[in-house]
Amino acid sequence: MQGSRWSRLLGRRLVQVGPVAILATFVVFALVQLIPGDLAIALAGEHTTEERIAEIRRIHGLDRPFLVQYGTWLWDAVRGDLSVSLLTGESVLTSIAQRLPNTLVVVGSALVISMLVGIPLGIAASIRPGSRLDGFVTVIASLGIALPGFWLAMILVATFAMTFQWFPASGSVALTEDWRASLRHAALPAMALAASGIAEVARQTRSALLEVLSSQYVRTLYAKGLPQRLVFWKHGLKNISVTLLTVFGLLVNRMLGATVVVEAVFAIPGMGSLIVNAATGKDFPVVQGVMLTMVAIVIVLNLLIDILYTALDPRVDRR
Amino acid sequence: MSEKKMVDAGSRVALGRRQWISMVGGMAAAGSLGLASGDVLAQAPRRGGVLRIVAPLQPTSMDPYAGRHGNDHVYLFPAFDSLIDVDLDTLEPKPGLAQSWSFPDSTTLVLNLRPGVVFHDGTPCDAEAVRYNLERAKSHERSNVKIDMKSVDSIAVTGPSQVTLKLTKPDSVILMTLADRAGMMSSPTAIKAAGNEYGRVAVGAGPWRLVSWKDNEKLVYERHPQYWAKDVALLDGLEFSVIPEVNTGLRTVVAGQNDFVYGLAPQQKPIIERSGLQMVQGSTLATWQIYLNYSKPPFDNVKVRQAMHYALDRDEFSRLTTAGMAEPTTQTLPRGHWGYDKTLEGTYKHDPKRARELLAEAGYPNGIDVEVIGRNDQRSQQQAEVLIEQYRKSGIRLKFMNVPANELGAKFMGERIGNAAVSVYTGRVDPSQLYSIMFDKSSFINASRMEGAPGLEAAMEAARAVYDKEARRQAVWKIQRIVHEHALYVPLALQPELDAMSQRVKGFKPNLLGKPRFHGVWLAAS
Repeated sequence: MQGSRWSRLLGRRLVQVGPVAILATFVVFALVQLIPGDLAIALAGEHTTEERIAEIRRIHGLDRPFLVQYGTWLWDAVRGDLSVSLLTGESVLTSIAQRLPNTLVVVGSALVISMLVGIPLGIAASIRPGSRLDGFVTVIASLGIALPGFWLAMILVATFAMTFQWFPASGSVALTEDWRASLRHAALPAMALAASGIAEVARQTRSALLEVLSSQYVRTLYAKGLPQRLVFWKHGLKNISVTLLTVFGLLVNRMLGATVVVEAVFAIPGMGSLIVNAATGKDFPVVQGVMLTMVAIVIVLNLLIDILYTALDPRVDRR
Repeated sequence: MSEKKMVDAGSRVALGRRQWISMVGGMAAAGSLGLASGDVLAQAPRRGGVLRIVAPLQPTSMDPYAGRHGNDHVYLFPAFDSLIDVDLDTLEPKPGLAQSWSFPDSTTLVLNLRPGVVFHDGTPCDAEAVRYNLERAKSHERSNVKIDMKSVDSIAVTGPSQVTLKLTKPDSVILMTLADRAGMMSSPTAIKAAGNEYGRVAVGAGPWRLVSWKDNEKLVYERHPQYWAKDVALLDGLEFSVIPEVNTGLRTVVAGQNDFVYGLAPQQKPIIERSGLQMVQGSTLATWQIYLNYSKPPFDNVKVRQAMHYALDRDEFSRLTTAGMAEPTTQTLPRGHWGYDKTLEGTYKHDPKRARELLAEAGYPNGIDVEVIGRNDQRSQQQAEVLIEQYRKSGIRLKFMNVPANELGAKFMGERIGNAAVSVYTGRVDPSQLYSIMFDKSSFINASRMEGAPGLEAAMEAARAVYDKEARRQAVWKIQRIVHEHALYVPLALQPELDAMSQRVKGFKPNLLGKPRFHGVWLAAS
């Protein structure tokens, strides 16, 4: 029974993967066409003629209709060939393999910080709603959401990297190379990314907890004579876990997007800088490859979250 | 006469070198250097160490034929030797992989190759390898240097160490073509093995071989143990870190994380002076200039184009945008170059009144509106502000449309939008190449797609047809004067080179190309 439940869930998700990936890559492919600039002119160099530019268009298939170009890319991608960058000649898979770990370390650290700081703040605020502590948490949360990530990143660099020199100002180190150095490099960018995450987690934790604590069954639990501590930690927190999972899933998606700016401030060779360079140069194989990877990450993560939902709350599957 | 002028040109550069040395010495005297200048000169070069270099960009390709950016050369020089080398002081040809050459007649070039040279993969760099490379330059679909090889009709192996090129017509530029990308020799074995991915691996016969290239991050080179020349590859290796932001780049050298950074902005000069690093500066071939589209009004009128020169205050432009570091110019060639024309000095002096008169004579008594395509980076926008203000005083109203650097060519030269464009032109070693690229009817850079002035094409042809040094100089001057008189473009100033390096780096010299070369550079013991 349990096995078939998982396989059903997995099957349903896998059916979704294809259309989502195709739609996302198609939209991005179309958007890349709108970016100003002409790739063929960039590839032709300084000393060139119109004929040579036309030849370059032909060599790279840039003269073919839009749908044919997309179809060719898709067909190759389905067969596992993500092609090479038109600008650098590097294999798209290699580029992604080199950069994805750097981004994952930063985003992963940011998520851990968001949860570790956000949940206690939310709990603290919900214990006595309307208290000074609650007000303080609300102010922190509002600031976290309002402050732009790039600004916070620059302030963090100026303070903790330049003045106190506690953390490096830029770059990244692979986890496999030296995990301590890797985390030290990821600390400041992760903090910059986590600011809005902490805020969101704290607010959602607070409101979900308040809702649970004011529900009828909690009143019943109190009526049965259970101590507040037990009601709070055992019943309250367990019931907000589904909300927290949802917030977590949304945060991952958002942080993968927000990392673009933070990577630029900290000169981290990650997925963000890869896609920015590629998009400004109209290097569509790279843009598409990065897109596809991001879509895959989001889909796999959502799948994991779905599985966890059903584990935490069996009603989800029955619905 | 010819020899004397050459010496003149050389001594001017030598003076530049002396200035550079004395500058280093001066800094030492000021206490900012650890060593006195005499010590710098007295120390014997030593082998060993890895030079850590900061570069603003990574190469567009390590295949010399497929690359497309002037910055690539900094990465190509260590890995590739070219058939003809260039004297970096005068930009004249000197022996490279070809130890000698001759023109038995005006359409035949015989190259005698240096024997015993091998590529990094052990493949001999013999006549067959050279023929293979030149055929590839001439006809491979990925070759961006095809246009430079246009005058080569056939390439034949005429001896184990001899290659003979037949030209379709006399072409004295061919030597400089073979000193640039087209003459950089790759291992045929490596090209065949790598196919279209050759641009990532680069196997040449240069003093260092490329070991790894981590995209947008790092390129690592190590010494080619079988390199033919002594005392060139003194360094065990080179490590390029790609850091696009120049301030970050300089910071890493100040902090001792790297040894050398190039392509700095003039605004960083005070920081270098305070930091105790060695500063290197010089003029380059790269020029900031205003491109004009003279196929449509108002620039189809020569008087309007001349007004564009008179309205301009080049000294002020240099002072405001580069703190006076950039050399103002009315011709693209810097003073040290053999083709520099002294008679053009002092022409087109700032004269707003004359500019207004010329506009009125051309039928624009109320001035003109000019649509200019510019670049949207901060430095270019600052230049644009200065230009707008200067031209306004002569009734020339510039309206800038600022676009990303990679879009400027597409807009102004491709779609041929606007009347003018402001950008930097990286320049070419041979003036004939430079003028062909700028003014040839079929050249993409020539947005007008027409002959700019009567006799210009004939003059450009004539300059390619003569081989004698003095005759060439005269022919080049003729082109320059036509271009100058007809005001086909508006040169503003030569882009200055500004580099900074740690005290350990010795033996580095700036060059007119503005592209650092690390041949003969060494690291003092720390």
